[in-house]
Amino acid sequence: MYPIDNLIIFTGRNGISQKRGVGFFLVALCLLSITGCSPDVNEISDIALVTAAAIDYDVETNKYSFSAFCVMPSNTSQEKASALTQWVSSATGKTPLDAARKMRSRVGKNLIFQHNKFFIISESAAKHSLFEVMDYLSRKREFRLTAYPIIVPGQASDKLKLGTESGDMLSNDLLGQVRNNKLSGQDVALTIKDFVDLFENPTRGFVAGRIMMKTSETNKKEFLTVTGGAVIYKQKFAGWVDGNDVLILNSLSKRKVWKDIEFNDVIHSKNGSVFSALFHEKDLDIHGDIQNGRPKMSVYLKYTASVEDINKDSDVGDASVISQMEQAASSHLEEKINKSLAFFQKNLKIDVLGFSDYYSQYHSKAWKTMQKDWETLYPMIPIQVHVTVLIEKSGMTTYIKEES
Amino acid sequence: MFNIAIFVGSLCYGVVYFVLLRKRGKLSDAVIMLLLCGFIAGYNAPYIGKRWPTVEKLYNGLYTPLSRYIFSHLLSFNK
Amino acid sequence: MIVKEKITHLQLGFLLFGFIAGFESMFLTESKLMKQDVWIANLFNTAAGLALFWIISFVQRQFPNLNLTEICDKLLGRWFSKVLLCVYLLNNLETISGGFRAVSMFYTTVILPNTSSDYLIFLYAACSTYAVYIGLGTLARTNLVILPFFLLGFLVTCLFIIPEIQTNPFLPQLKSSLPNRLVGSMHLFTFTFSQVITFGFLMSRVENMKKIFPSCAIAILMTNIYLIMISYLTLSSLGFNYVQTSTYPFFSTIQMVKFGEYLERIEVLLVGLWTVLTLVYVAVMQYVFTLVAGHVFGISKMKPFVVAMGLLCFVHTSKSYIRTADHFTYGIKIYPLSSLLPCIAFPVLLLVMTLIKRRREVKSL
Repeated sequence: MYPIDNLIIFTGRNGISQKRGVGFFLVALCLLSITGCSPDVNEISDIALVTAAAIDYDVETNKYSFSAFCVMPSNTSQEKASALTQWVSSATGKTPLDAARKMRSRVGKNLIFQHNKFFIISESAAKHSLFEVMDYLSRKREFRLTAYPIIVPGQASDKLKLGTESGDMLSNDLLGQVRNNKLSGQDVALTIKDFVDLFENPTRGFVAGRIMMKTSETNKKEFLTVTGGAVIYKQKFAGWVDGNDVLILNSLSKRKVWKDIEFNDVIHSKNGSVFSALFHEKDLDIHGDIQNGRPKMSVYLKYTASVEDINKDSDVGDASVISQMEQAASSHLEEKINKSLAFFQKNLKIDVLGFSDYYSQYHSKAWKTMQKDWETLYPMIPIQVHVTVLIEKSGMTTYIKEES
Repeated sequence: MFNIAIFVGSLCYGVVYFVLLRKRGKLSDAVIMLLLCGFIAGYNAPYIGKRWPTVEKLYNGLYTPLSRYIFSHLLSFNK
Repeated sequence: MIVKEKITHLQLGFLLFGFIAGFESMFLTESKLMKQDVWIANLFNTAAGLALFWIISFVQRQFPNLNLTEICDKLLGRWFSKVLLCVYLLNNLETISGGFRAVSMFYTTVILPNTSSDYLIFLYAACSTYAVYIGLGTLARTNLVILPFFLLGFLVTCLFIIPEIQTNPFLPQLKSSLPNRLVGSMHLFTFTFSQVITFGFLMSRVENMKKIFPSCAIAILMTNIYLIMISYLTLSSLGFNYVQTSTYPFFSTIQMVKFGEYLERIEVLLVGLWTVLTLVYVAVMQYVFTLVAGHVFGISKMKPFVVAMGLLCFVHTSKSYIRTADHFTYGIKIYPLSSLLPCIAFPVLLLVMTLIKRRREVKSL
């Protein structure tokens, strides 16, 4: 008789002996090993990670092309840790799934998509076949909801073969650019979840991310930049939006989008000085009304700013000088916003800002009658813009005495 | 393979406990155990397994007309 | 199982919370149907759940020395009681199979697409059979240990979902159609508190019967608060259109949670907790199935039958709701109707018979 047979570890309503406890622990440990029997197990040495994917569509042949930027994790002692094997693999098929499966079957590794952050969609696919592409991206369990679908002019697959200015991996570079959007506010980073949610809305359009090719100023090579946006309306690609309009779009979107953005601009003050300031949005209030059955909107924005440079000796410690600068900044920003709003209303004629959502939520009764005529009503909506700028900071100097 | 294992396993379990329970003098329990295990084996039996009754089949047969009437005619609900 | 140990009223309340909170949160069908008006379904659910629970606890209190199966025999006569209990057993088996299939469907859709559903169901059924074998007391205590982790994980996740909120989920109000409200409310009730009758069969095992209703009423209220929170968090962070598109809206919501820049896939932890709580749901159902079946068929020694009934639940599930579409369609169009008799009519009938019996006893005095 072993002494441990008589030991009770803890007495609750059932005293459990140590022998039974140890037995249970061993059984649980054995059960854990059953996980190795699952056909879904992936061997680490067999996998390659896809960090960016591209989808093209050929209108003439009605075929899709799926390309993946694959990275093989390096774990042998002979290779340097920084030298990861990277390659682009591609295949065509009748549907995005067909093309992707063909590509995966030809690759010598088991491709894992869980780290894939970017889906680069060609302009052709966005114009002619965006529904099929988005259905595929949202239905597949392997593609994370937080990945970014981005539209690119021209072909998408050859963009994956471009290098980056920093020499880092393409997806890391693009992700860094998305993160650095807080410095310019001119990028759109819409996740698959937001894309599909807005995609299903019949009355409004939206702006998704865009990638452009740019020549480096240090060498002659071309590289990708995330800048501007692609307009999607009625589930099709409808046009491009440049960075300045995207900045205004971001400023008039949800708080989550603009709360971290700090952009710079050059302001011409009334006293003849020209100064640069960094603007940070503090508050946004969009208010809509109905007058005589017609919608009317007001937009109130509050910015805080800091003066970064001035072209003449203005004393930024003087409240009256600052007040003049604030007024100039407010007028400048109002003009900028009005210009972008006019572009969205009169040129694009697409409700990318989501005013229809506002009316459907806050004026649901009136929205029932407005809904069917929204396409004609939207371009005519008078939008009053009021911007207040508060220059809180002015840097480490007050002014530099200028030679007369 | 797995289905056959369950089929054979349930029959063996039924027979073993039928014998054991009979020995203990619990005839009714023994008969119920045999019938239950026979019913369980029926689900994985060759040929007849596909036609073996399930609650889903029973209630689909019983309630589908009522459901159709309530959802399509009464509520005009389409999902 | 032979030594029928008692549990406390608090343990029963926590068991009720764990029973409901785990299972229903994944699908949120009522949120898809009613969107901003989903509070109507939750309000109806609270009222109906409290009413139904009060009915069953009232009936039990009139016969403190009997369990609910014996009460049925006494009130309805032996054979009619057996018929009704058999109808309950069919509903219980239907629910267990639906629960097993829901878990295996979730895993094969989201995490393990190449693993056979039958293996997953078998593992799950083996665990729930073991849970039934070790008894109600152990199950209730295990639930007490798991729930704090679940609540902590859920609360932390909610805190991290709050920055993802981008839509006002409350506006516009009362825009859902009447059929959607009816179907959504019935759907939520069917999958949550219509199964309160199952807890009726456990009430005789509670030490202090008078405290059952207050304890479980709080559990019902807390469950509904939890369901409202996750419904509106999901609506506000996913968007109204995506909630309808997504098969598992709450899972999609928690997929957006990340700690810092790189720590993603937190949803795996919550999926683990959800799996365990759904196991509690199924284990309680299977435990009561075994209890009631033992009474209906007059089985004296239940121990050998525990494994057999576990096997029955497994094989029945492997032949039921094989397609995802079957599962969803059955859950919306057949299950609310098939639950009416055993889950609502049965307790109401017991209440009516109890009141009639009391009146007869008073008159005879």
